[in-house]
Amino acid sequence: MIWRRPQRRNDAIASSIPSGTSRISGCPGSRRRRFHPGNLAPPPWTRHLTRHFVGCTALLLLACQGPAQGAEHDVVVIANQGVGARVISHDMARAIFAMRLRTWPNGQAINVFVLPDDDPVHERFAKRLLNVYPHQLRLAWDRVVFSGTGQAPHPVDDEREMLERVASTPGGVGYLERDQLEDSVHVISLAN
Amino acid sequence: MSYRWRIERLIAWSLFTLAGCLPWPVANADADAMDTLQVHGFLSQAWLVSDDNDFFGPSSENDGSFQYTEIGLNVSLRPLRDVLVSAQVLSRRAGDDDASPRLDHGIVDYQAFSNARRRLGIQLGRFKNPFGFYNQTRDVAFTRPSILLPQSIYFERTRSLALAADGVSVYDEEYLADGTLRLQIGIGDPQAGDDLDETLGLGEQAGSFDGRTSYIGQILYEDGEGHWTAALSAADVTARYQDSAGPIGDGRFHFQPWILSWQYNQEHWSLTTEFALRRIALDDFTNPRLNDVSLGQSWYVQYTRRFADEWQWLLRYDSLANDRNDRDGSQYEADGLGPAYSRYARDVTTGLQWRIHPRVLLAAEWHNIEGTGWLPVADAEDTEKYWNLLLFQASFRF
Repeated sequence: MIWRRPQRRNDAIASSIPSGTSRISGCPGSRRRRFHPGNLAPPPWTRHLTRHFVGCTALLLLACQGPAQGAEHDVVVIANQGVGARVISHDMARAIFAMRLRTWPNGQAINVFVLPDDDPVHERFAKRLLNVYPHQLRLAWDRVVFSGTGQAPHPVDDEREMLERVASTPGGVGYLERDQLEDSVHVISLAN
Repeated sequence: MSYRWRIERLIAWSLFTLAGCLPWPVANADADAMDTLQVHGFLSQAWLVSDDNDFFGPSSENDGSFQYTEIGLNVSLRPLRDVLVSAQVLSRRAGDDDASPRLDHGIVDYQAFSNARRRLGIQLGRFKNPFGFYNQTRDVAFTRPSILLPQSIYFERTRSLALAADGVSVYDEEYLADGTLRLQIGIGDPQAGDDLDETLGLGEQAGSFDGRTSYIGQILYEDGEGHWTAALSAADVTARYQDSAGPIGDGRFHFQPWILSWQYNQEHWSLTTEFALRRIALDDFTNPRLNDVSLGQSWYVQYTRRFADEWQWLLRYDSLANDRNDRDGSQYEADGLGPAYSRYARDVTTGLQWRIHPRVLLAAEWHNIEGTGWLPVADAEDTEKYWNLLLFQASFRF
């Protein structure tokens, strides 16, 4: 899949919508490609039929292939079941993962979990959901720790451990690829 | 000691105000406070070689100098869920022999408000001054783009004054539609070290400087896309000189810097620039010859390029003038006070950083310098106008 820097507002929201609603928004690009044959200007009498056929095919493909192409590899923010928040703003997400925010809106302590800096999932999470680069996050952590204004996030080795630690830690927050999701955690959507 | 007494009074007063105005901190019901204990540290050792002029030890002698070492230990704890306690001890050797560990910062930070639109908190204790982009963590190699920070702004001569203050600091972070606005204002007593006495040519005198109530503030804006950051920092730092019996008499020292900072980030490169005006004033001295005002000017432009994930290349031009009205020092020399080149410095730097492991950083850099304007006074004997400085540094953190 070609990586494109997301339009902050729309793509990032799309990529963090819970799985049940992600089918349509998951692959707008593939829908455009499906309509290509229609541009070859067939005879007028076939146009109506063609449009129907192409439209149906596109829908079918969207339903079957769409999620497999994009959404499964989307990274979503996950939180402990006890965390009340279901939607947070981008800025708040950035402040949480930059270790500047200490409590959830309900007053509960935030516990941040992160994958290693060079983990591809961490890279995608930082770039697509937070709009920052992994090296910027690392610098932000070093700065809060060594200036006495914050603590470092809890490191985890892989997505399995991420899921377990977020599920078992009150106030826990982290991120996962969508296909690694389990009911032990809930998804937090990012909005503006 | 009156100094300590004043600090205690200040802290007591702040606590009292805090207790009255803010919601009370809430116990961390979810976890044992000791579960939140974190210990971090860093260690770095440099090797300096120069053709002329000693910097941080005998760098111009045969084997160069190894007298640049930084060792830090950092402990933090969240005893209550909105309270952070953090302390850092730093042992730093930079040419001189005094590397005894000292308290770098020691803060109780209470984040009183934290919601989707803002967070607001207060820090009590010894806090790091938000001065330009780099001051708060200037001794941690991993947070620096180069081994030496641009010396025109982060120089040694008044380091102790700029570093940290004992008092109260309030911070506010506003999440706006297009980005984040951060404000920090601090009131406290700076630490006036021997560097100040020496910089002002009073190292031989019996008297010494003592930090007095000082103010520092920073306003910083970070755009929502994470591409650029801009900041304005200002401070009014005061120290009192006491030598009642001696020839100097009592007096006051003011350091009033303004720093404008700007950084643009792309995935593989960053462009950073800072411009500072530094007003330095001596007043109230019994000996009127000492009372003086000067306005210094500093700026640098820095390009960093990241490649192959672990490497970073840096190119920087850094310029300092101790007196804005006499940038090339010619008037200074004409007045018979010393060489013109001791009043300014122009430094072209290029360097490489290699993160061979998330915990290990190796760096090398070369400075081509004209002038000795920021050479630490202790090192500034038998100087040359044009000189080169080569540095290597290995750093470790945990």
